[in-house]
Amino acid sequence: MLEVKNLKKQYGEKVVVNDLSFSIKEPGVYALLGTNGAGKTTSIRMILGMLAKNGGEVLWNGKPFSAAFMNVGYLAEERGLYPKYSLLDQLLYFASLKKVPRKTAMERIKYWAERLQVTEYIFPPKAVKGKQAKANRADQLSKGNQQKVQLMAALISEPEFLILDEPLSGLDPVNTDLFKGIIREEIAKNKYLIMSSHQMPTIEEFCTDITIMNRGEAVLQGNLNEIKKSYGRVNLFVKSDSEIAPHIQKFGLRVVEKLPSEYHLKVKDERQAREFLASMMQNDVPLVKFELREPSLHEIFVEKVGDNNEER
Amino acid sequence: MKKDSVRGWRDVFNFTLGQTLKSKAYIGTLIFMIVLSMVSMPLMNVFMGNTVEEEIEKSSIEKVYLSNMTVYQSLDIAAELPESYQHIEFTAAKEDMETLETRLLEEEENSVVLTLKEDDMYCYIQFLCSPEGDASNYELQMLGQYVQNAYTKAKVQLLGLTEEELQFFETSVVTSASVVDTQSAVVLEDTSITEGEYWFIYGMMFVVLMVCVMGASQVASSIVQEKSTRVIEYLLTSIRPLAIIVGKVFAMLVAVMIQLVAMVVAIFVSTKIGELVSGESGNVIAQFLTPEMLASLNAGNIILGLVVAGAGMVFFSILAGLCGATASRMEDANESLTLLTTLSLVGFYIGYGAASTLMASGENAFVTFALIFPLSSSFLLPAALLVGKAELWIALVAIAVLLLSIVLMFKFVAKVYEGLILHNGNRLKIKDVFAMAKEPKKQKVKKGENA
Repeated sequence: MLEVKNLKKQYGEKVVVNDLSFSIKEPGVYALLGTNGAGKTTSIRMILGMLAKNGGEVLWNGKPFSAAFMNVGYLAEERGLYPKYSLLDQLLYFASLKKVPRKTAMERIKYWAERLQVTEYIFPPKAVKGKQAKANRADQLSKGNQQKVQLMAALISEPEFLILDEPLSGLDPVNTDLFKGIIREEIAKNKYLIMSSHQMPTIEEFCTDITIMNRGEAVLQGNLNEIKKSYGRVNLFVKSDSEIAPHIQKFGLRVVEKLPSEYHLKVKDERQAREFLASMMQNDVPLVKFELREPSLHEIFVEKVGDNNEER
Repeated sequence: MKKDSVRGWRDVFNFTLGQTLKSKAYIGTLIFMIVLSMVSMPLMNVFMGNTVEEEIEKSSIEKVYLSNMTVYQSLDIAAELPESYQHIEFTAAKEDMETLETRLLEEEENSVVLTLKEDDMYCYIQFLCSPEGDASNYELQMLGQYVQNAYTKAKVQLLGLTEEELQFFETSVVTSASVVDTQSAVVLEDTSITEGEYWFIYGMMFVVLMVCVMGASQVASSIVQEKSTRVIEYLLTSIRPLAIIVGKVFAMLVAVMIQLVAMVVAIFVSTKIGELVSGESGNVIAQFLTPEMLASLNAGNIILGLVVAGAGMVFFSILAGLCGATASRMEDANESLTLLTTLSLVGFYIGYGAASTLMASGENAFVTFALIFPLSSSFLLPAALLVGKAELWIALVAIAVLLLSIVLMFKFVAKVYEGLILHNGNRLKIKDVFAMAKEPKKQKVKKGENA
């Protein structure tokens, strides 16, 4: 179990992370959300022990946590590979730092290279006469392929705890699905994961618990389903073939967003929604869609962070 | 410095050394240095006229018209000539130069005109030969050497000196001024060095400076590269920052040592080849390093010298690692090395001043200071040991001081490196680094770093 208690970081007088606490009691994915500069990466660096803390502590099963002495996998937001060195050499180096025996490391590299479809770059065939040798250095790879190699580096030690900082940014839909599949597999292996992302649907897809950070502080924390439930089903989506604006005005509903053929409305409670539906039915309004649901994570995030997404 | 702080340094060492040895830049430099070392001895032999006499089986010069305008009219040139030149006919030039020139051009292309002149300062040996002739420039140079020998002997004979007296006259003079008391006991020995020893020390210091700066710069650029490419973040999930710098420093030390050893071996091979080609024992270096100079050249002093030079490189490499960590972009890398460059030059100039002092007045407090002071000892001490101008106790104290400085540097680096290594932004100044060392808990990274 991971416990983060009262984490604090300040540079001079500027507090960039203040009193951040959360815990991951069971295997699964914990999400750290926030705008750019909210303090997510700084928090992750403090959790990993890369950055000195000004306060607080990080515990793993009740003992001080140190990434350097534990089997932790980390996919950093800003990917890092040696541009000019052979990819295989780099992966073997990263494995040796994690104390993975060379033979095991080689087997895992082959496995992951196959899975992530980068075998030709990690093990490039020798140059044949007249043909150029395949790229085997990071600076010769596309961004997506570099990201795959980086993910291999994070997974090569089969870590029990994995931190993924923006794992899907910059990936095409095919590779996004590939990464998602691997993340699902890691979850299935009962691992502890922390994920930071701006892609709310991805967070909703994987995470059970979340912390939303704003200006270094946790503004919302807890189980995602419970948070959503606490907001209630107040989001109403109505689509009709005829104009329904007079009906909306009559009921005094707030229009959140008006799409070409659909309204996103805010109701006080489920009762008001039912009354609105009954009124429409009485007046023979042809309805195509009438959906009442909890707010999405995206909506909660925007509500909590709002316009305070100032870059640090 | 806890053991955990450096755990994993061997992995960093192996990887850094492996990649350095594989890099094209390193291999290119190594090949260049080996080639340069291999050709250095033969080239020096050529440039210093120390090449083979046996190459000339029989000189193509057939006749020499001698125009001797010196006071020494009875030159016995034939006595100085080797077998390959014995066939040459020497004739006094009775005609004017124009007639002789025409003869050389039209009839006797393998004849030369030799003019000997002198003034108060110099003796001039001039050759005139046909462009169609077979005589090479080297043949003429050698003939000039034999004529010069004959001229010198004639001068000596004129003075009435015997061979033994001449040898005695040519013996090199070494000045030594020692202070004795009334019982003739030496109370102050002359410890000054000769000019040859001075140049030897200077040359050695320069080599050590180059080695230290080369190795240290590579450590710094490697650290800046890891920061600028963000590899450092991945590394720090496995090891502590200190392990990174320790691994890199020792890897670079080994890489540079390999280059040095390769150079020394290449010079040795080159010397042997030179000897085989020339058939002469000894070499150009031996002309400079006299037996007196290298009386202290023994295994003990060589090992001590290597230890000091190696410790010096470690010292400057740690400093370079610290400098490199203050920069986060490759374009700031050179600027970040200002402190390293300044301190290494300060050390070099202290050593240089001490070498000059040694030549001028011998050992004194300043020289002892320079031999022990960590900035200068790594440059001065190895050479001073080899010429016998550093006693064992000085070497041991200097090594102890260097090792202590290295430990203190490591401790300082350990305090600030964590903050420095993740610093991302403008290059940090020295005062910022010291501020980090003073307040490690409160302010590890300068205000303004990207959060």
